[in-house]
Amino acid sequence: MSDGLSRRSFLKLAATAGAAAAIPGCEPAARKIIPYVVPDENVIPGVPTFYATTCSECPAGCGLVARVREGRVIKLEGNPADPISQGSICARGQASLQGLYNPDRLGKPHKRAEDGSLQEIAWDQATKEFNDRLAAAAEAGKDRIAFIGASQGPTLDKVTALWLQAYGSARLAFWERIGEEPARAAADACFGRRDLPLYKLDQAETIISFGADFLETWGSPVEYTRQYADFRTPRMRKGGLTLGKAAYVSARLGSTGARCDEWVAANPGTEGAVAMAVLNVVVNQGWISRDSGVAADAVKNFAAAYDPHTVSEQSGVPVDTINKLGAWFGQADGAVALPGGDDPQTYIAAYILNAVTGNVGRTMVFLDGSPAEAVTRPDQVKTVIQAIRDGQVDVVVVAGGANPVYSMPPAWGFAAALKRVPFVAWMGDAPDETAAAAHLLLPVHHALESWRDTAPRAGVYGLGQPVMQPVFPSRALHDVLIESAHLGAGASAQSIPWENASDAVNAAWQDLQGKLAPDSTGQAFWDDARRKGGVFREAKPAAVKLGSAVLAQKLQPKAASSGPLTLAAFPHIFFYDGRGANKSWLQEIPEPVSQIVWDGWAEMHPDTAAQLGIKESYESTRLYAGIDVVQIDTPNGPIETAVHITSLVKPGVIAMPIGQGHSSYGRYAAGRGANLWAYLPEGTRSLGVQARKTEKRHQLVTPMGKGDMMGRSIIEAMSIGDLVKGVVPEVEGEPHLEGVPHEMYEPFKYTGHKWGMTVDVNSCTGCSACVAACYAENNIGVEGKDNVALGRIMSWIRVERFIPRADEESHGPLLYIAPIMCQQCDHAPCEPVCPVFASSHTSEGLNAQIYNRCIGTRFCENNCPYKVRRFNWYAPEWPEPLNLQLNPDVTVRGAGVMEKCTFCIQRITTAEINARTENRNLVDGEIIPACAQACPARAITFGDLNDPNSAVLKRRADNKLRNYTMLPENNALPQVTYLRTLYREKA
Amino acid sequence: MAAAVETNLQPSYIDIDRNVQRAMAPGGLKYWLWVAFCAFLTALGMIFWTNQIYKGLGVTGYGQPNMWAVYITDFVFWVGIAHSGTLISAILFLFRVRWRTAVYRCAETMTVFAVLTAGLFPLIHLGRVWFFYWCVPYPNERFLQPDFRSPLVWDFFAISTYLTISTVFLFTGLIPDLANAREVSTGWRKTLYTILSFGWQGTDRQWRNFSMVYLLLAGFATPLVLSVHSVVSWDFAMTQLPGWHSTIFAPYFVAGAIFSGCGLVLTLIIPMRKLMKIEDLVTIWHLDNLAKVVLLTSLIITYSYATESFMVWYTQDPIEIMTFNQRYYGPQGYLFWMMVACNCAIPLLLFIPRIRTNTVCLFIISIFVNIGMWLERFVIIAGSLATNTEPSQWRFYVPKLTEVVITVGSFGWFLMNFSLFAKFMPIVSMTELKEGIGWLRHAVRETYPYRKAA
Amino acid sequence: MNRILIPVALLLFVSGIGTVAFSQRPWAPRVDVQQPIPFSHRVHAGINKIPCEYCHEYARRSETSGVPPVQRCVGCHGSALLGGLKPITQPWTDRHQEPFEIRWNRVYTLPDFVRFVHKPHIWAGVACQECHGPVETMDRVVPVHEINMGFCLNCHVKRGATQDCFVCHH
Repeated sequence: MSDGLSRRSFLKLAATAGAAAAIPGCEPAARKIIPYVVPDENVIPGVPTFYATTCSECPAGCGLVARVREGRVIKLEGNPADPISQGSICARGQASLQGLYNPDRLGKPHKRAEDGSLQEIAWDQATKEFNDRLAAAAEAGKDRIAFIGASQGPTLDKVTALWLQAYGSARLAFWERIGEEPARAAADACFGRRDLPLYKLDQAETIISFGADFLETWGSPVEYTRQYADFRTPRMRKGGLTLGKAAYVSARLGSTGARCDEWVAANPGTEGAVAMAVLNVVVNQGWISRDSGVAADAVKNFAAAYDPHTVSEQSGVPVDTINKLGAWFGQADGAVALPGGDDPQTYIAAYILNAVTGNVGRTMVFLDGSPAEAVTRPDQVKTVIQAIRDGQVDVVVVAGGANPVYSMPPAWGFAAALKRVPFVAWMGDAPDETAAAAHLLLPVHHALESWRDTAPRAGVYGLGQPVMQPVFPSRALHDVLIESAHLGAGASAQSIPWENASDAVNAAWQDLQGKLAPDSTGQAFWDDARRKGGVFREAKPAAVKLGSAVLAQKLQPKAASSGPLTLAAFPHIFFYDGRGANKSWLQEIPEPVSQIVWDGWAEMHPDTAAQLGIKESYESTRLYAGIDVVQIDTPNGPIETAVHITSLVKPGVIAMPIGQGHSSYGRYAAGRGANLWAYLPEGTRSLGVQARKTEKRHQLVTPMGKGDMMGRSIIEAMSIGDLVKGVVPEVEGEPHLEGVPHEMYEPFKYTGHKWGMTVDVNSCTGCSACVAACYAENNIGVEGKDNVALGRIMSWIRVERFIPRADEESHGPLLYIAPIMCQQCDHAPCEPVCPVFASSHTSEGLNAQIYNRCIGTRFCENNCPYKVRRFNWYAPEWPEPLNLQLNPDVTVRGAGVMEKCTFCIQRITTAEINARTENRNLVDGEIIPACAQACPARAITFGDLNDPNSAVLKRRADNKLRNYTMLPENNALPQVTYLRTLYREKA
Repeated sequence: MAAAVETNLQPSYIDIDRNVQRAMAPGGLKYWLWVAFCAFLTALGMIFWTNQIYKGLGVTGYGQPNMWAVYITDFVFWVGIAHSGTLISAILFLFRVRWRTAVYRCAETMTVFAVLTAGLFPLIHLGRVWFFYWCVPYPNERFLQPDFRSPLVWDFFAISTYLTISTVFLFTGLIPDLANAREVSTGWRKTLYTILSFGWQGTDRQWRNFSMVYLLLAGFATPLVLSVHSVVSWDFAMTQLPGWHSTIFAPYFVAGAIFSGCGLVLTLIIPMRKLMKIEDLVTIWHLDNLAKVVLLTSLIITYSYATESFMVWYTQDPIEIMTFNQRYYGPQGYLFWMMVACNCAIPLLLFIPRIRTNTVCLFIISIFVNIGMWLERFVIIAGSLATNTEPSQWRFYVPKLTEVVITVGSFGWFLMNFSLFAKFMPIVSMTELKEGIGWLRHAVRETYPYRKAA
Repeated sequence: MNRILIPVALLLFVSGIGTVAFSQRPWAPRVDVQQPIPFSHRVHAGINKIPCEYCHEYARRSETSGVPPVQRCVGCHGSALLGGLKPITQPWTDRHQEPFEIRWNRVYTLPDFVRFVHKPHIWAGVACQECHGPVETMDRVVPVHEINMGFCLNCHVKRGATQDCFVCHH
């Protein structure tokens, strides 16, 4: 591999190199170039290759395209061919790179010594130990071995099962804490089928989410974000331009709720009851659809117990709100209720609601040929654990990222049970709490290094292929299993006909070809799948009918257990069930609504806090985040956590994010907040608790300053009414500026291209995928909690969250959320103040920031009205092997230089070079900045402002009324414009 | 002592010479301890700066959005200090103001060393100080020159010009006195003064040339008093930042500069005249006049503060108003009110003659003036940045140890240089005192009652 | 008096002249870069007229021109020489080194903050020699031009190519 390619030997500081180059006649030292002996035909050094694979960060199963440079994957994008991701992925997907290159990954197999310390051992020694133990257990009798793992897709799960059989055991559990069981159980109860429905939000006119954070972690967030953006774009309905109605029933206003019209603050655990009340309203108003085929009075009786008044008392939701929701839902032409949480009752209520209004088959669809359940049902998992507790198991194998010690309900006592087991083998990439309890640790490939296949839904067959050589001397999990099966099981070796995992996957796809494409050949089908990242077919909707049995039974939604306060746990948008916590990007990117980083916290309403004797005094501190520590006494022990006081949570409720509180999950996850899974019982995410203020202090950290926009024109909103009338709203905090631009001289003529961007604030959900993508694409350093506290976060694009003032609530969105990056001004204030032209204007309308020319006066940032420039206070660091992820096309900035968004200039120049050498013009859409490419909501459009029919100009023209530039009074003429977010006036 | 006063009611040339020569006598242990202490502070500052260069600016309390803070505050503070020196030595010279003769050498010395100190801070402040020379126009193969639109480049020229002129001006004034010193000193001092006095013999021709050169230099220096600090003020006035973007900054800063400068002259000269026993040359009458200048400039900047606030209110620009609202009542509002107390309220005491003529009071007041003027710059710089146009980026700045130590170090560096100069060079201009001996006698007579009282 | 002044003035004058002279000294390439094997561009590119891009095959397609894989040598040498490659690829500098792994020493280096892409320059018809000098006449390649920003800019100005800093520095 030619060293000449890694022109930027990645950790080298631009500064030192600059020093070398600045001194005349002093040349950088000679370096070695070692060419291939035999070149790889597919690789052109310096040109990226793209491989399709699938994402493993959550069960949604998005398709990925990995950009690989010189054998290293440096960036992940969504797979455009894949119907789920359709070319964009979330922040967690972007960050799975950091799972691959995680500095805390296990390099070599380890064995735990008597004294509990870990000793490195060789692979063959490790596998020998592993197989001997299994053999011994198999000797001892049937079912002496238990396997607990995360599902790795149909084929590999089959392999696992076979391997376990080979050792004469059937104690198999595929574990997900945020599971599908409630949804499946409810589907079973309502429609007599246990598969998961598909939601078509874009088909609906009304969406009511009963605790489902469908823009954050629930179901398939990328897909739902995309659909929701569609749903929220005003469209002609019933002869007028209307905005889809959305309501969010939950105790805490998450970024999902922030995008809805109504935040219905219900007591935690009563979402189901509210759903029933809505159903009650719907049926009593006779809004039941004829063709739903449900007996009206059966439903009436069913919902009778839930008249709005009783539910209102139980849930704290005003009666008229419930009536309003009922009206919205019942009268909508296409509506969908989304059930969330772990309570099956909520799901049943929502399903019935969808069914009786005739939306099943329309906005909520069951497909024929849905894949088999991958995740084991909780009760079966419990039997396995019971067996372990009863000492019927000699060997427990925990594999594939499942982290039961961390995530299992406290009542199951898994950790204790595990202590009884003589031999626990852990197979994974980054050691976690379960690994800490294991006797043998085997490092296995990360998903991006191994063969897999996925079946997220009917018609979608994802193929996960390794996109690079393993970073560490690890082995594929199922290679190890297959090998051990062949060794250990003697006669039953034939039970696994394949040599290794890739054979197994390949074989499975040969069968698939027989089913899906009989006329094609196996090889062609296989190659095509590898190219596209899978096979994608239209699946037929199934005809389903609401069974009458469910209506006969009486629903008892469990209300939150008693206690003066209620603890409501919500999955952190970036950590999901906790697996994201060891990735520094996800720790550093602020949670969109609370804007807190690197920590766990408890959100409280000012009134609740006042009862506990905590005052909100953020104005006087340097940080606009909480500092007082409370002790929360739960039935499963006390939690100590810092309080963040916010109006975005219901009084009497303590909202805490799930996913932090790792005791052993690498350096980035260490010592942050509490692990709520250890307190939450099965089947609910809320708890009755008591809380009291302690004397301890713990500063929560946020890069966000004031949450009050002070009426400045930063993120603007307009009502759908105004849009229809064609009235542009006045921003009262803004000095009125007539006829921008004010030019003194003849404006500069941009003869070639002129790059510009438009951001539709109405589509943006604050999911921060753009931020993660920017970190990955532009080698942005991660600063850590202490530096963020000093305002040293480096992200070039930030998602800003402003809370409307009390007087704005009636006429404005619930929250103002928008991404803010360098606005690439024409009259850039940063440029004339730089003494050395480090900040200069290009002939294509960009504000160039020339790192190697920068001397660090920081004058530019002072003069930047948008405060989007970032200064390198220290030289950034990437602990090995994170440095392998760095993008070779982007300079790694050293200490003392300013940096900022470049519209991904490296992508622009590459595209321009290609166009020129192929001697053609650039095609609109050929250049996509990382943020725009990642955005699941398609909120960001980039293009050439000199090209009259570019998408960006078209988008501006189509939304003239909504188009605005931030802080116009500076007359900076930004090349980034925003489209006002839309809201519905509250009556 | 009283006896001495009696005899000295009519100080003669010899008395002047004797006093100054006594002041220049080799320093004792106390003196050298003091110098060593200053040197120690300087070294401390240098160590912290080295550490900052090595590790990066992260060792300071800086962060988004406080890109400028203590270092630039120190820079403006020291540049401001410099100005009074030139005012006293050049402008008052042109206006033939008599009381300047006793204090101008001290003031001018202060100017030179203050500019030297000020010049350090833009460098300390840089992210990559080893490339500072990119701000300087020089021929290079890159076809690159500094951007002359940038106020920082104007700064570079303003400061370097100022340093050159004031150094030359100081030195020229020294020549006759050095010749005087040459005559009475021995050993290496004699050689030193011989070299520096450029063979001054005191002939008519030399005197004629001398006074002409001196006049010309005074002419050069005079506009600098106004221009330099105006340019410095444009570092802020030229930006768009609310709180900085203001047209009154230039006169406002110049007035502030004179104010703080005269304040520091008092701070330095009051102990000095005691320690060096030159009360007969630098009399209370002189201090009284200095105090009047302080009082005047204090009134001017008080007016400027009022104007600034008025203009903000008058524009009705909501963003400007919010910035100033935060400056007065925000989390760091107390700094603003401390500043008002030091710069506007306390100096009003100088209306009272008894206080003007009481060295202790004067000294204390002058200290307050220095503190107040440092705070003024800090409030303007850090405060405005902290409350910028983008509320989501608001964050108030709190310095860390590094900034504090380096600031203290800069005082050490300044005082060390000044003390050395005061010992080895005639810190009071014998020439000019002799020229205006009548006024000196007037001063002595004026201040006789106070001396008696003392 | 003049005993002192004149020497001082002279000193200043001389040092000034010295500085100017030093800043104007001609650039000298570093000629000390030894290659591990006696490979001659003169023989290959000069006498045998092998086109540059036959070995540096990526120049037209990528940002790097690429150093030929050892396999490329075999193409011509392998059969011709008895004993295959060993005679030509066994480093003369180090007898113990693996013969097929040639550790070339870099002759041209750019600092990390410059992104130079060969592709557009080749397509724009810039001859390799314009930057690398008459390689075909050299047995061992030594730089002919000082590849610094001035060198690049001169050519960009001459050819009317872009002069945006951003194109190479990002």
